[in-house]
Amino acid sequence: MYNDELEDFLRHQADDHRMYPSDKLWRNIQLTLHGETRWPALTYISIFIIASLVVSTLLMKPEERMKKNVAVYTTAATAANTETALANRTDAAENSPVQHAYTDKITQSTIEAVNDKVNKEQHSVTNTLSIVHYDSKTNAALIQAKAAINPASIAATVVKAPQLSTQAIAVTVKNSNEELATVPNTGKPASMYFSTFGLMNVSGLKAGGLVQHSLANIDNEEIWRNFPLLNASDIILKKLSKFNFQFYITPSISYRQLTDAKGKAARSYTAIPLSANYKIDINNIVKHTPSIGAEVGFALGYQLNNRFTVKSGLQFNVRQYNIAAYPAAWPPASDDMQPGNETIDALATSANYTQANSSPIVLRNRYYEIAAPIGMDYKVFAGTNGTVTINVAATVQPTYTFDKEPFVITTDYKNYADGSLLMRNWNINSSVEAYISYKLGAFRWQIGPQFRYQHLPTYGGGYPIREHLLDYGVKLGFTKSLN
Amino acid sequence: MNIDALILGCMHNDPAAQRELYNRFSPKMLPVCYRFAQSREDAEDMLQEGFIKVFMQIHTFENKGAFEGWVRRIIVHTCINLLKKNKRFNESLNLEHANALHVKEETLPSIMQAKQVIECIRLLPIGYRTVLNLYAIEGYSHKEIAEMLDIEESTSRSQYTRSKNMLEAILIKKRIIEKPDMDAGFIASLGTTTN
Repeated sequence: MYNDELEDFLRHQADDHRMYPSDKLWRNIQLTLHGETRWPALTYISIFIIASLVVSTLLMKPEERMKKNVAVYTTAATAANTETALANRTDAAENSPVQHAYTDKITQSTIEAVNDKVNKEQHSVTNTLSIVHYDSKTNAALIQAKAAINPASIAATVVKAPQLSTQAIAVTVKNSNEELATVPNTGKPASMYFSTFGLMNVSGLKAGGLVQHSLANIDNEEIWRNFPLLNASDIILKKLSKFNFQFYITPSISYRQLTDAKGKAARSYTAIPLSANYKIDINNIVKHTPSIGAEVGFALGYQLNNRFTVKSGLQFNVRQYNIAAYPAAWPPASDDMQPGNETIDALATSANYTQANSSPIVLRNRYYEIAAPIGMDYKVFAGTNGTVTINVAATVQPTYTFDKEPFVITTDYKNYADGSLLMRNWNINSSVEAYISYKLGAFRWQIGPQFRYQHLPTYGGGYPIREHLLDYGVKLGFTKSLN
Repeated sequence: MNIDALILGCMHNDPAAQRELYNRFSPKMLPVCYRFAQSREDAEDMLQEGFIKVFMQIHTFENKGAFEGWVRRIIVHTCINLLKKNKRFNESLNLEHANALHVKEETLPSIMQAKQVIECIRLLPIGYRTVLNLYAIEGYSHKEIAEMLDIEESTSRSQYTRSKNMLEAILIKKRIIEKPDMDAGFIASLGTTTN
């Protein structure tokens, strides 16, 4: 086998040879061509949470629903169609949050507050619909409709009945006024008043007249069993109790994770021998140790349903870690601090620490941050009466770093320099937590582990060494329902 | 997806097209790098650099020849450029006489012949190997090789002759090829050790 034969043989063998590169090779190429893959999930989660908050606030606000009902049922009432009004009233009663009300005592002040509120409503409704004249039928229908909207309104209607007085209602008005006056003295729960006078006796109305309850009826236990107690104060309480306030503090330990974005591609230019420069993990070169930090903050929560709560608030963070370094007499070459091809002279000249000597000193990188967590809380488990619960929660936290004097490692991994010019002001963190809570009096106390991760590198400007902070902490806090 | 569509996609910086192109050509190009490199890791780095250049310069491809040939030229030039940064490589190019190689007989008995041959090429000193790769396998002329490696054309020729003789001897020793009339003294100079 001579000359061309050997060359043909070699060429043929070489053409037949196939090798398959490792997966990381494509990732490196893609990284170089397109930069670091962004995590669109962060954006989507943030948008989802914000959208959920907005939609839930708009759709689930009880006040709005009640106003809508007023419009529907009073229109029916002015049409003098008692049957329709009654049917609507029944539907409304089923759909109304009032349906979920339960027996409770209310005080005289509550009654007054409710009367006040309903007076305003009545005034508004009357003006809107320009109801000038009432006959007995329309009055009855109006009262029925208002009872469906807000059982308390019937009381107010009755109290103000002289303005609407007709034959059918006059007696009721009279009786009810008496009843109202006598409530505190009867020894009965005030809510009974609303219940007995709730005009829930549809058959009676259909028969053409209002059922009139006198004081004697109050003692009739059958009435309490037949008609659900409709307590106006409950409506108000339920609306407000969806909001809660949380205060928390989280002692944490901060770690950092370093990656070199230039990776092997950058170092391959200096490969002498080629293989000697690869597989260098920067995390193994630097000497860093975690340090204690903390988060303190508050959040406002809105309970979407029995299990989900969305929350947002404000939080102050302190994150820090230690670096072992060695004093050096020389500054690093400006080349070492180049993000890409740009020279940052300020960094190069301010560097005065290196890793290459003996007698280490400890540098502390400390960051002070303000964050606005937006997140979701899910109740995984609730014990009897809900006293003990186990929850998981996650937040996305736009974060602003307002005080920073970090030491940044140079690209040759040999020196530390002042990195404050490179550091980002804004970043994105996210956290996940699990906690157990216990309700004690008006407060619900919680404790549980939390993990927080900083998604964008600490240093911007294309600096190839990327630092991501990780915090492991124990979150302690309490939550209080807003009344 | 045909190659023209892939090229067009890559020209528009489409990651999917780039990935497809990479998947299609990397198994052929990695062996090219491997023949020049000291190790597989080095070869992968060469390939990485080479493909980055391919994607960044793909708009300069004029469709005048085979696209694979164009990619191959970029990969080879990348390998050479990286090798030229290696001091040992530069010294090796001016090597008049290679040191004796200790080649074991039948050290690669179970692998396929193509891989055996490639491994034999990789046993050559780096300077010899580079010239042999460029001339015998990649098809560059001695003039082109001289320009690429910044050496004299005569040096390329002499390097090639020596590398070819050395490789031939190795192939015989490995019993991949047979050449009864091979200079026994030259084979002996390879410093054979027997398993």
